[in-house]
Amino acid sequence: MLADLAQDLEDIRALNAEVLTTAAAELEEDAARDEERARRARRGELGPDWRRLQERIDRGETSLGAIAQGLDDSWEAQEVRTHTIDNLAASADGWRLPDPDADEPEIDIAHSSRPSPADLPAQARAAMAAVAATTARLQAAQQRLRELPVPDPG
Amino acid sequence: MSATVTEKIALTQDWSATLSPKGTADFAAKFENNCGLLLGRVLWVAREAFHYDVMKEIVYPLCGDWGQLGVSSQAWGSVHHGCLDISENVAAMAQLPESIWDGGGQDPAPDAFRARMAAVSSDFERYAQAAQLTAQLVDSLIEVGKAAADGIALLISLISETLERIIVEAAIPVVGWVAGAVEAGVFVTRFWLKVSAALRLLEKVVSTIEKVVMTLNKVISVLKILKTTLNGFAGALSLGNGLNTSDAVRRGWGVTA
Repeated sequence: MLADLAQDLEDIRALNAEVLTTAAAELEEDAARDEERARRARRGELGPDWRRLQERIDRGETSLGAIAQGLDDSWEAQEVRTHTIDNLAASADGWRLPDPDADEPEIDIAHSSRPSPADLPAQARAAMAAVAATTARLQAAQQRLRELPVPDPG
Repeated sequence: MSATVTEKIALTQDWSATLSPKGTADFAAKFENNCGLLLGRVLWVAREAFHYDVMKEIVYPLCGDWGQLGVSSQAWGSVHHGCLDISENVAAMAQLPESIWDGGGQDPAPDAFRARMAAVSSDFERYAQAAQLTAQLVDSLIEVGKAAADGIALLISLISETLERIIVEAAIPVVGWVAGAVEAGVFVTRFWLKVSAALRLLEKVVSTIEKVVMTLNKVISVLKILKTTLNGFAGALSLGNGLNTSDAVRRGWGVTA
C-alpha cells in the first residue's frame, strides 16, 4: 500500500516536471511573439494607442503585465483595455465548456457569425473534452469518498 | 525502550499537543493565498470569457485542514511508540523468572500468566504496527497533497500568465479578432490544457485519499479484533484474579523494587 502511495507521489512529480518543460517551451514562443507584436506596434500597425504604449514599454515606464492587470492607468492603456472587453464579450460562446445540464438549441455553426468551439484548434477542443471528462470523474470520486463508510475506531 | 524511559517521555511530552494543532504549518492556507494573489487581477477573464471559476474548481478543492492531518500523523506516531513500550514491558513480564514465581510445581498460574503476557505483548506489538502504518499512510497522503499543491500553484501562475496574454492579444484592435485570430486559439488551448493538468493532479489526490481511507478502514477492523481479544483477556484475567489471586498478589506480580 505504501508503495502504491509512493507511486502516486512519483506520478504527481512527473506531471509537475512535464508542466515545467511545457512552460519553458511556451516562454520561448512568447518571446518571439512579443518581439513581433512590439515591432508592429512601433510601426503603428496596431494603432496609435499601442504605438504610444510600446514607446513607454521601450522606455521601461510600463509593461504588458501592467497593462493587462489594469495597473497602468494611462489613457492609452485604458483605451486598449476597452478592446479587450469588447473582443472577449464577442468570444463568449466559443471558448466555454458545454454545460452538461443545459438544454440549449444546437447552434448552426456553418451559418453563425458567433465564434464556436469548432473555430478553435483541435488541441483546444481535445483539452476542453478532457476537462469535462476529468471533472465528471472527480465529482464521481468525491461522491464515492463521501459515501465510504468510516467505522468508529472506539 | 525501558519502562523508565517510557515514564520519562510520558512526563515530559505535551501529549495534548498531538490532539489539537499548535501553530502547525498548514501549506493549504499559504497555497490558497498565493493562488488568490496570482489570479486576483485577471480572474475576471476566466469568468467572463471561459465561464470558469479557476479558484472554485482548481484551488479550493485542495484547501482543507492539512495541518490537522499532520497533527493526527504525529499522534499515531506517539501511539506507535507507546504501544511498542507497553509490548516490551509486558514481554518482560512474560519472562518472569521462576526464581520469583514458580508455582511450586503444582500451581499452573505462573505458566498461564507468562503465556498470557506473551500474547498481550504480541497484541500490543500489532497495535503498534497498525499505528505506525496509519502514521505512514497519513504522512504519505500529506506528501501527495503537498506535491499536488506545488504543481497546481505552478499551473495557477501559468494560467495567470495565459490570462494576461489573452487580455493583451484581445486589446489589439482588429476587426473579427476572436473568430479569426490564431493567437486567440493558442491561448485558449493553453488555458484549457493547464486547467486539464490541474484537474489531473486533483484527481490523483482524491484517488490517494480514497486508497488511504479504505486501508485505514481495514486497519481499524484489525484494531477492533485486537481490542475485542484484549477485552476478553481483561475479563478472563479479572475472573481469574477473583478466584486465584492470592499467590500472584502476594508476590506482587514479580515487582520486587
